[in-house]
Order: sequence, then structure tokens, then C-alpha cells
Amino acid sequence: MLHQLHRLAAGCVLFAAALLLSACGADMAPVTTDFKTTNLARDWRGEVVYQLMVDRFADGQRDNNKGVVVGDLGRYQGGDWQGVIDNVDYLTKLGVTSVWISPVVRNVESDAGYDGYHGYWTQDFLDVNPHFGDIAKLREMVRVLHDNGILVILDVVTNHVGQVFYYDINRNGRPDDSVQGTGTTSPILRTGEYDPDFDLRGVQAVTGLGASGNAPARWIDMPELNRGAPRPAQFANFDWYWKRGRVTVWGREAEACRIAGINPDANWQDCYNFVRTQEVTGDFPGGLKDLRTDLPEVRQALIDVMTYWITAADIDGFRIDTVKHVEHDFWIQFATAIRAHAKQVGKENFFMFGEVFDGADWLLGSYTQPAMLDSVFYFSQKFQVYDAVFKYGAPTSQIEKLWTERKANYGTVGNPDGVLSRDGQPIAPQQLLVNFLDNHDTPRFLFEQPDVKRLHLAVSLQFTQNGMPCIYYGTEQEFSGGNDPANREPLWLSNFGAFDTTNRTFTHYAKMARLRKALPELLYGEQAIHWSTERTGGEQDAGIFAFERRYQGNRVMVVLNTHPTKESETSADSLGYGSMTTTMRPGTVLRDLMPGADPAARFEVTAEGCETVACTAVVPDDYNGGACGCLRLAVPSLGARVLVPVERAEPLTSFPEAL
Amino acid sequence: MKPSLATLIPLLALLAPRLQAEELPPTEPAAEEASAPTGFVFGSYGRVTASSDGAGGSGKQLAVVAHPPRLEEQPYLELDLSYHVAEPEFGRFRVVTTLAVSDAMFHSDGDFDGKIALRNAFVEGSDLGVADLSVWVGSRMLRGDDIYLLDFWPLDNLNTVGAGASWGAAGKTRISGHLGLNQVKNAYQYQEILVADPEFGTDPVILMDRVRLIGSLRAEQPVEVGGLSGKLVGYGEVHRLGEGVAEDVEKVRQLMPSEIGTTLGVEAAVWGFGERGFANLFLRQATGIAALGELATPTSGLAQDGSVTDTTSTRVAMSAGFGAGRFDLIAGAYVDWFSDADTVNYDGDDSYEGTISLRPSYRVAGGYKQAFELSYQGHRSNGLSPRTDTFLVPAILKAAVIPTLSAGTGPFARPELRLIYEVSVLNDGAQEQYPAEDVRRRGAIHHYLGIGAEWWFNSSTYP
Repeated sequence: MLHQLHRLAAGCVLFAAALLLSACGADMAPVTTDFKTTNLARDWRGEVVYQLMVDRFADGQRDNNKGVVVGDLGRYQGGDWQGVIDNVDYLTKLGVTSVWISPVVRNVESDAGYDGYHGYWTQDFLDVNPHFGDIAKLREMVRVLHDNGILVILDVVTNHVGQVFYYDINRNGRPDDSVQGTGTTSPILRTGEYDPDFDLRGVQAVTGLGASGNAPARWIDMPELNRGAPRPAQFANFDWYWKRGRVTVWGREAEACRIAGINPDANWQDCYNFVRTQEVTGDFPGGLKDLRTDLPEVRQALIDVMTYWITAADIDGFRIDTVKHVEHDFWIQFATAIRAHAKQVGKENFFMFGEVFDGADWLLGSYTQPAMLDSVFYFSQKFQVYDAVFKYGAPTSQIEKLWTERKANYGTVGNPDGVLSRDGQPIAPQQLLVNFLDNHDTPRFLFEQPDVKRLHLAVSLQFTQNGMPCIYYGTEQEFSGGNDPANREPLWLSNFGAFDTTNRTFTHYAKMARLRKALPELLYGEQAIHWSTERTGGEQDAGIFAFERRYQGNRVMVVLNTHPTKESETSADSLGYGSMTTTMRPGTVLRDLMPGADPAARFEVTAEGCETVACTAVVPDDYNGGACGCLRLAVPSLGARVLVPVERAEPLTSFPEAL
Repeated sequence: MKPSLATLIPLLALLAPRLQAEELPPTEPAAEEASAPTGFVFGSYGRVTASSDGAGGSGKQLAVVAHPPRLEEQPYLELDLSYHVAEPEFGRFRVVTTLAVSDAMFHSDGDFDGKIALRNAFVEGSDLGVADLSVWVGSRMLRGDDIYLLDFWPLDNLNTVGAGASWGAAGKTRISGHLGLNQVKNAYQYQEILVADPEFGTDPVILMDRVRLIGSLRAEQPVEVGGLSGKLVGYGEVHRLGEGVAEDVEKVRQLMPSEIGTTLGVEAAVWGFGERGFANLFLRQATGIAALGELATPTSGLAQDGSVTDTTSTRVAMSAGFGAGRFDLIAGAYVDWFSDADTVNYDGDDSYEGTISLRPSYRVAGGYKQAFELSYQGHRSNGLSPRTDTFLVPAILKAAVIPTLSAGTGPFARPELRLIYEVSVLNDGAQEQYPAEDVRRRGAIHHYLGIGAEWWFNSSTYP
């Protein structure tokens, strides 16, 4: 009856209004209500990912700039989803095909003077962060990106929530910044109730008389900071949290083991387990409360809230935060459920990669085993290759060592229900690693190594090796910020001008992206190392690293010289090693397609200079036999060559000029 | 024992003959112009209501639009004090001051305080050597015709400090214009900050200082159509604001650009049909800063450079009345389309809304009237509700029974005493505009029980 009354009255008034509205020609189209997910299944090996911190990318809507403090990088800066919509051209000019966006969920506004602009302080798993826009704006952004051929990867956090509760250590019913610690389980004598040190028993309450059992957890009541019990309501359950306090072992693992009575030298396994227990069950530093992801009901609730966003916002993949802080078996259950849901809503190639912030290659790979994640951030490569070799001049043999270990450490079999190749085959995780030089948790490349030529060389490898290159926003503008938050500069404050697309580094990225797109070998090809060296001094091959990419019978040879001052060769005659081998036959003439290369230069594969064998007419892509030919050439200091047979290069008529 | 409606209505009816009649349809010339007074004149507009929600709580105004029906309004009082001088050799002058009080009554909340504003403080001179010419200087409410049921002046309603002139007389062509200034005391127009004193402590300095210059022009032409009286009104405003620098709470400074805005509108009015018939139709289009109102500060919907240049407001409104014997009907309605200055088409600032209200009454005996009111209000925004992340179209349907004692006949006879029972029906959207903890969220049906009084005489608001 009430509805009928309203319908009748509304009908009369709104009919008249609609008539007048149409007469006035006002643009008042309502928000679409028939939102549907799309299926943009692509072979993820072909993607160029751009990590986009929404708050720092572009400010497109002034209304949501609440609490913005321009220039204070620990606070909101004003970027939003409208800003992404307004600057899609910038992304397409750069050659980006996928964007990884900051978490979209509503966050705790502020803690200790810092804001939740990054999105990792979840307060409500199902609501949007109003600083970025509303759900309609999120959908609009995804639609606009999709319309421009760009996939959307959403950053999600399953390990913890924001700073939503405190430990009432002194049982006075209010959160205290500092209370007396025991001094027995930790060298810290005073600790705060927001983020106290780890205690395996659970954070302990303390009075003047000593320990008094587990400290009660209490929800913080600060609605002005959106700091209170998490939502949806089932997460407002203290049984769902470990309540053991913050991880304290990082950077002092051996010392922590000794304090705990474990000799790390004599019993490293126990020490490792001790550290891992903290990592998995401790609060993430900053007061981020650790969820009990071992509990079935917590797992299901996390699956439910994460699947919501696939449907609600038409997301194409997840970048998953703090993966190593969650039990391994969680990822089997989580990934399986996510894949099933994605398929159910028509998304066939939903992609999941995780952040395992660790240099231990085997640990990274452990999350890519069957039924787990599709990929991880290749942190070990970031540390051992892009930092050690490209920034600090370590030998290129380090690259070969790491890449060789990959075969043992990472998943070799793709998931049939997971991401598929362009010909419908599951893609093995070790072909899908996400290659990055820097990100929001590490100093920018140019902070530690301000030589732009080295950056360009690193980018050249990033875009020619297998896996997916991931650009951290702003590196293309030569940002050089140090550790968080200095490495999170507003993109619009580039020294080259806002959203400049003409500077040398932007154009290098763009050209490498186009080169990559033009050569399927670089996207889908097998990868075989043909030269690496221990030498970094004045030797003939110092700094050289070369590898071949092979796909459907075609070959691309990539040669890089990481030496900072000297031209080097793909040969070490003086040391008795001869020249570099190749699976291309003698007589093959190569052209260098590297942006900026001399278009007239030619390089010929010879039968001399190395030990060759008689190769078959069609050399398999995964050929691992003797050399078919030899290739001796020089590469300038901090230079690179991308060599393809001239007959392969000719159809690419736009190269290199168009690049 | 609480008095019931049944016991109160006869009681009020007994009081009716003692009250004085004062009936003025809002489109007719003001009484003061018909016979110019001299000396002191006191006038007033006021309303006071005691109300309950019928469930132990206070009576509340439930609204989803900017101009809802006025029945549930809070108490408000204007005291008009004017002094009139007529010197044949020098012309006529009047000094007008209007003190306004808007707050809960002291006897209601025990707070010996109130919100007080001086809404008129001007001197007007007439017949200063030129017939039908008058000029004024001071602080003044400049208003045309209103929609009584909505307490709303849909075409022209300026609060300004400045000066103006008018040529014409009641019942003749009249052209009036004014130029005024205002400066809202917030960082949008005025801001003081502290800087270090050269020796010790701090000194205040004015960082932001920009005034809004407002000009208005109004032309009114009486017309006679088919034996009916009427008028046509053309109206326009120009608002101008210079640029300035503001500092936010985080000490970040930004340039606020200069603004300009305009309003254009027309009104057609006719009266004299039936026994007490009148009708007014208003059309109005405002752009830029003029679309926000002269004392408003934009807080959302700004363009990226902080301007509101692309803001538009388009409004259609009407008020009408009709009487026949003991029966009267008055009505009011408006629809307003608003679009903000940012480039986002799907946000809460891009919207349209409207209200329609009807109040029929029947004079039973003497000054006792039985009135009813039926209204509907709705708001449609292009944005999602931030509370629900869904698309809401809040609307409220209201029906009221209003036993009334008036000092005269007709719908505008005042003073007036009235009992009010009103039921409001909120749709889902109207309910969901309130947080879950809000008592107004408790359901679709809301009640309002009130007893109130309203009056005006010699008033600048209702002349």
C-alpha cells in the first residue's frame, strides 16, 4: 500500500519533471544499473603491467579531497579514480595493457599521523574508499580502462585488517600510547597498546604486580577516523584474530632466536620456524591486526569479500598483499575458490599474483606450487639482479644462477582452471613471474642509482625477459624517491611537467613496450641463456649477458652490457671460452631492433669462433643441444641489442623509426 | 490527562471571534504603499510550534529536498521597527530595522540564548524630486513573491548590503535595481591567519579577502487580461567574486579563482478570478556562483581549479490559490535541476528535486477552519548514496489535518492558531538517507503532533 502511494505520487511528480527535463535538454543520465562483468581473457604473458597508486596518479575530482595535505607524502594527496579515467591516454601511450590499482576498500583514515591513502588498512572489506570515488566511479573507471584494452588488477589484503583494536595491557579500558612492558620476553621495556611486541602466548596484560594473563582486546572507538570494529560484521569477532602483537624479528632474526633460547647456528630449522611463526601469526608492523587465516570460517569470509569485488567491479586479477604472512595451505583454498568464482561469472583468465617480500627464491616459488597462485612478484630478481647487477655492478653470472634456480623453485605446471595461454594451455608460474625494478615498498631505482642509462638498461632486460614487466608509476618520469613514503610522489608533480610523454625515460618505456608487442618471441618464447660472465673489470666480456627467446621457430637474441664504462663483447677468446653460441644457423644476418640502434648495422652468425654441431632444419624452441652457430659482437657500455634475422625484421617496417 | 483534538477544537472555535482579521494574498500591493504611515510602526512575522513525534520524541522536519513543506518548521520571529517621515518639500523617508530570532524557545530547551540576526537596516527615501522614484541604502532583504506553503521565494530573494533604486508605483510599471556586497566569514571569502610578530608572539593578517558584488535588476509590468489583474516580472542578477588565496587546516594554500554568475528569470502572475484566486508561475535559470545563492559557499562540486563557473540551476515553480464561499485551496510546487561544476556527471551534486503541496481548507464557523495538507517531495541524484552504494531516490508523502483558528477569512488571514497532526510516509530511499543509529531510520511511517501559532502584521516578510 505504501509503495503504491509512493508510486502514484512519484509518478505524477517525476513524469512532469521528466517532461521538463527533456525539454531543457539537461544531461542527467542515471547511473547504470545493469552492470555486468566482462571476459577479456588474454594470455597474461603478453601484458605490460603498470602499478598505479590511485592517490598518487591523478586528481580528477576535487570533491573527494578531504584531508589532503599537498606535499606531505604520508597523507592523502588527492588522486582518485576519476583521475585515472582522465588520463587513460597517458597509459596507452606508455604501452600499458594492465593496471594494478591500490586497494579499493574503505580504510582506517589515519594512524599516528599517517593516512590510509595506500589502501592497506582495511576497515570495511565491502565498501569503497570515499577518497577515490564511489562504486559507480570505480565501475566507470574499470569500464573506461577495458574500453581502452587495459585489464585491471586489484590489490587485496587477506592477512590483516587496519588498526581497529588495541590491547588493553594495563586493563584501564582505554588505548594508551605507552605502557610498562615486562622486559623479559622483549628488550623493549615500554610498549604501546596499539602495536605491542609479539608474544606467542598472546599479548600479555601487565600491572604493577606483574603479568596478569592475556590482555583484553578492545575495538577502538574513533568514528572521526573511521577507526572501529571492522566490517562486514562477522569480522568484528576477536576470535578471528591471533592477538599476538607485532612481528619484531625482521632484520634481527638470529638475535631474536637467541633471545628465545634457540641457537641459530646449531639449529637453523628451529630458528626459521620461530621466525615464521611470528611472520604468520603476528600483527603486521604498524598495528595491522593479523587475521586467523587458519580458521575455516575466516577463510570463507575472506573468499566471500574478495569474490564480491570481481563481480561488483569487473576486476580481471588480484595482486595479493603480504602473502608470506599467511599459511601456505590457505592459498590453495583461496585460489581455488577465486578461480571457480571468476569462471562462474564468465571470467576465464582471472590472474592472481602475490607479494612475497623476501629475497629467498625458494620461498617465493613455494607459493606458486600446484593449485596455489599463478605468479608472484619476482623479489629475488629485484634484489639479486636489478639491484645487485644493474645498480651496483655485480657479475651477470648472478642472473644465470637465479634464472636457473627458477626451474626448481617455481611451479612448472599451470593450473587447468587458472590462466591459460593464447592456445588454451595452462601457463606454468615460472613463465609468468612479475618482473619489477622498484615498487611502493622499495626505494626507487634512481634513488640508489641515479644513472638514467643504467635504468634504461634494466628496463631493456625487464621488457625482453620472459614474464610480465611491471612499471611502478613515476619511474617513467624519473622519480627518485627513497623509502616509503618518499617513493610515493604525486605523478602530476613530475619535473618534466604533469603527465609528460616526451621525456627520455617515458619514451624508452613506450618503445620497449612496442618492441615487445611486435615480437611474440619476447612474450611467449622459450628463454635460454647464451652468455653470462663472472667478469666485471677490463675483460673482453665483462658485464655481458645474453639470452635467446624462441617462439614458433623464430629467434630473438638479446645482448646486454652491464659494464658501466667499457664496450664488451660476446666472446672471451683470451680466456679460452670462444664466442657466444646461438641456435640460429651460420649465415643468418641479424638486425638490431633496439630503440636507437643503427638501422644499417648488420650482425652475421658464423660457423667459426665456437664449437658448433649440425642442427636440424627446424630447431625446436626448447632445443638444448650444441650450438648451431656463433655470434660475436660488441655492445657499448650500458647498451643492449635486440637482434632478429633481417627477414624477420623487414615486415616490421615501422622499426626502428616508429619506435 | 492529555487534551485531545476533540476537546481542543471547540475551545479554539470559541476564541475565534475575538481575533482581528488581516488577509493579504501575497501578490497584491503592500498595505504600506496604499496609505503611507508616519511616525513609528511596529510589525512582526512569527511562528511558534510545540511538537512531538507521538512516540515520546520531538517533532522533526523530515525532508529530502531544499524546500520542503513548511508545516514542521522550527520557531522563527521577526520584529520590524520602522519610522516614517513625510515632508512635502523633501520627500518621504522610512527607516526600517528587522530583528530576526531563529532558535528553539528558552522555555523549550532552557538555553537562555538565541540566534539573532539583523535582517533589515536601511533607509529608503521616496518622491525625492522625481515622482515615483525611491532610493535606499543599507542592509536589506530584497524579495518578490513567495510560495507560502514552502516558505520559498523561487525567483528573487537577495540578502544584501548596498543601495538600490526603484522607479514606479503600486499598480504601475516599476523598475528597480540594486548593487550590493557581501562577504561570508569563512575561508572562501575571508580568512585571517597568524604570522610571527617581529618581536614576540603572533600577529593576525588577512590572507583571503574577497567580497561578492551582486547587482540585480527587476522590471514589473501590470497587465489586464480578460478582466483579470496580473503582472509580468523580468528579473536578473549578476554576481562577481575576485580571486584570492586560502589556507586550509593543514596550512596548505591555494588560489581560488575569480567567479562570475548570472540569474535570469521571469514571473507571470494573475489574480482576481473566483473569490480569492491567484496564480504565479516562475521560471529561473542561474549559472556559476549565482546558482548557489548569495550567502552560500561551495563545498563540493567544484571544478579542478576550484571554480564553480559551470554550475547551473534551472527552476520552475508555481503558487496558486482559489476560494469559493467557505472553501479555499492554496498550492505550491517547484522543480529544480542542479548541475555542479566538476566534470563528473554521476555524483550526488548533479540532481533534480521537487515538491508539491496542496492545502485545502473549509471555514466551519467564524474563524474556525478545518484545513488539510497533502504534499509530496522527491529528490533524484545522479550519484550513488555513499551510505548504501546504491542508487536512491528518496521521497516523502505527507498528509496533515490542521484544525485552525484564524483572525479572518481566507487562507492568509493571520494571526492563526492551529493544531497539526501529520503523517509522513518515507520510501526506502528517504529512510536510508539516515544512519542506522538515527531515530528517523525507524520505519516508513512517522507522525507529527503539534500545536502552533503564526502571525504577521506590518511585516517586511509578509507585508
